[in-house]
Amino acid sequence: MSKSEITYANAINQAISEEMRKDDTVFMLGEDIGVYGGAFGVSVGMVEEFSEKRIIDTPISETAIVGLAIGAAMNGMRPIVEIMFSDFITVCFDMIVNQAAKIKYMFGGVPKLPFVLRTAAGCGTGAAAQHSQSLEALLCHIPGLKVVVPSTPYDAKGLLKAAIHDNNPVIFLEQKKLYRTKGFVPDEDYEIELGKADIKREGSDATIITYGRMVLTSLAAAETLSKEGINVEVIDLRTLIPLDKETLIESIKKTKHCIIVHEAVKTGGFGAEISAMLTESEAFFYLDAPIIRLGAYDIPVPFSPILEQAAVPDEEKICEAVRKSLS
Amino acid sequence: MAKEIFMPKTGMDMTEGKLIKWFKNVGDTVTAGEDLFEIETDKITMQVEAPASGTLLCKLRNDRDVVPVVTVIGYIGKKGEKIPEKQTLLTINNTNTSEKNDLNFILKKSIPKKTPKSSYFMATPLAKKIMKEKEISPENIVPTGSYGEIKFSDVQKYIDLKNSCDISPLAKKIAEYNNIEITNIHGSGYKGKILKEDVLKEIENKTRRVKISGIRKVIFNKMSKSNSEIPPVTQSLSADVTELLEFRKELNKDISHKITINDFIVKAVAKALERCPFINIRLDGDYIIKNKEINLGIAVSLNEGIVVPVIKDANKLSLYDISLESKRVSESGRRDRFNAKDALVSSMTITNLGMFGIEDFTPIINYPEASILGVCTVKDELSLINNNVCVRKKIKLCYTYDHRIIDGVPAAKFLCEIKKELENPHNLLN
Repeated sequence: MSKSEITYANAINQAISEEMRKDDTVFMLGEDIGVYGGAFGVSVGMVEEFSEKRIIDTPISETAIVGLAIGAAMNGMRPIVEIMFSDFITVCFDMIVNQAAKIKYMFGGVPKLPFVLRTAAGCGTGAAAQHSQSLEALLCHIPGLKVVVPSTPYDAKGLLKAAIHDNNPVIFLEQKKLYRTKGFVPDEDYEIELGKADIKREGSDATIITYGRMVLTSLAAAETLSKEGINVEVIDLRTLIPLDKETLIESIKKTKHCIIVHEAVKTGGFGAEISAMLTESEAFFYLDAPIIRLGAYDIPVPFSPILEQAAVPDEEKICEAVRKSLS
Repeated sequence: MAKEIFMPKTGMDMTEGKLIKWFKNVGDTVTAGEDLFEIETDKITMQVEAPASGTLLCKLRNDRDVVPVVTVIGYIGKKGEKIPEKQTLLTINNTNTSEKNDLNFILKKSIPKKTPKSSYFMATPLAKKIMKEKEISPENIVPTGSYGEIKFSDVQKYIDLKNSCDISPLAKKIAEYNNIEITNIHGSGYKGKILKEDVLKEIENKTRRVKISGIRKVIFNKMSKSNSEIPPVTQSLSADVTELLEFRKELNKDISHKITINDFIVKAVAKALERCPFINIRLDGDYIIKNKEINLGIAVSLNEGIVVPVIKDANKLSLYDISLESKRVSESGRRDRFNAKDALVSSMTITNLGMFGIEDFTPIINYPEASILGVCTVKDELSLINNNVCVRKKIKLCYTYDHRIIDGVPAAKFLCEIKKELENPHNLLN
């Protein structure tokens, strides 16, 4: 099977472009996605290929953008919305929470809502407190939404295609820091089913459950720990909702030790949900140490690059947590 | 007040001992001086006497536990007497540095308290699950978790211990004889008891994993150290033992105890060492220890490895006494019961493979000694003596030495001295 090495941003561009070529109902709207090519350059070249009718630059009103998309989706279109920074979903939260997530339930399951909300999440770019948050826990708390966080170009492309094909609202949390990372992607068309975690590294001594940018950090930590003879399994959730509980439970049954890592603040973070789910499951009886959660400190993301870095988990903190769990 | 029972320190370099077996149960009456438990060090096995009379109040360590020296392993006291809550250490008279280090080690690693007898106990979910499945009570388990909780590994340790103990005496004997790790065997008897058939079945299996322990572990460590630290050189030389063999035949005619060729060699080496004190040395860190005594180690082969019992003051013993002593220490070594004084560090070791027809080898130094003499088989060789070709009995000696402290010329001189002694066997009677 032939494959090409492309960036995470390219992978997203390819997924959307390929689907737009196949399906006329797919279109994208957002701020500065046309001529400018998107704040992170994801949609570069797309307005030239698909015209301004299908790559629509909108005014700065997130509520209007999402509202338009919901209406279009109810009427048979497959809209993709780009919200420039995931922090801005709070502006259009009514549209997401009270409209998109609820419509299917409130109208007897009749209208399909094939709508994808792409947005750039995470810190590490020096963009300060209002442009650096990881707000997935807010979204996961809303029944009716699917939440996807890809960590590699391969996953980003395959998962985005699945999201576009899905008849429900899907929030697609792209990782700002990963847009320029590269990886191999098959040249053939493919799709990754939502709700399937990926074991990015197999191990037998402890399991790190993580997603998004922290997958890469966790893999680096696992590599360091392997030199100490500690064999760590790294699981990339890929989709938080639906959650692949089975893969997590089986891994804990195997390794008996669990460390959960995310970039979002620890308190009320999605790690708490994973931890609680595991202790409610049969995995509980296989735990040989308390579950450890690693998240950012409970503070707004600092502007100072040094403090910003210090606020979130890093390789050393992850290594320490694994050692502690095994001690 | 309850009297502590310690893991004894039987030698300068002993850091830990294996508690092979308690002879008494908790609650039994013990008398001071009677054998209370048996230990195995890297050199010896020995019975340890009860330090006081009274009742065995508790065992802090179980059979087969490996315990640092001078660790409290139990208490003797009056019936019903409480043992001290906090394990305190008695002052020990000897206060050299290594002793102090041992103390520090023990202080840091205080003995974990047993789980108190109440219905609730701290354990990881996994540990609890296994304990429930196997009906194991928490009092049996020593927790090692950082919160004082029982971990899976603690339960596993107990299970291994239990499995290893539940074995018929015959099966145990067979397993020991064949060096079989009994913890790997699934017992077919009542409640998983290991029977003879189980051990035999295990022996039949072509490959098996045997944990390196006991004597093999000692050999393992010594040989690794020897090979990695010592730059060895081996020199070989043949001695004419035609006369010696004649002489030996003559000597043995009249005595019931037969003197062996090896006895002659031990005597010859002892005499040669007397004349070559520069060989009677060993290395200790940055220092050369010049031995005063001439103590010779004799490598003795056992089923499970090699032991090196030592003939003390070999230069002061007659050939006949050397022969008797050599027989005694070898036999006690074979029985695995030679006492601490037979297991000293010696001037050097003698290893003899002559009986197997070995013609040449490069023995490896028995760390921390500085040299070793390998003795090969006696061979018929043609020699030219007074222009006549005749058959002579020759024995090859292979001498390996630590070149950091022994140079080639002194080593060669020493080897020549041994040759000289062997070729003038009558002098060996002195």
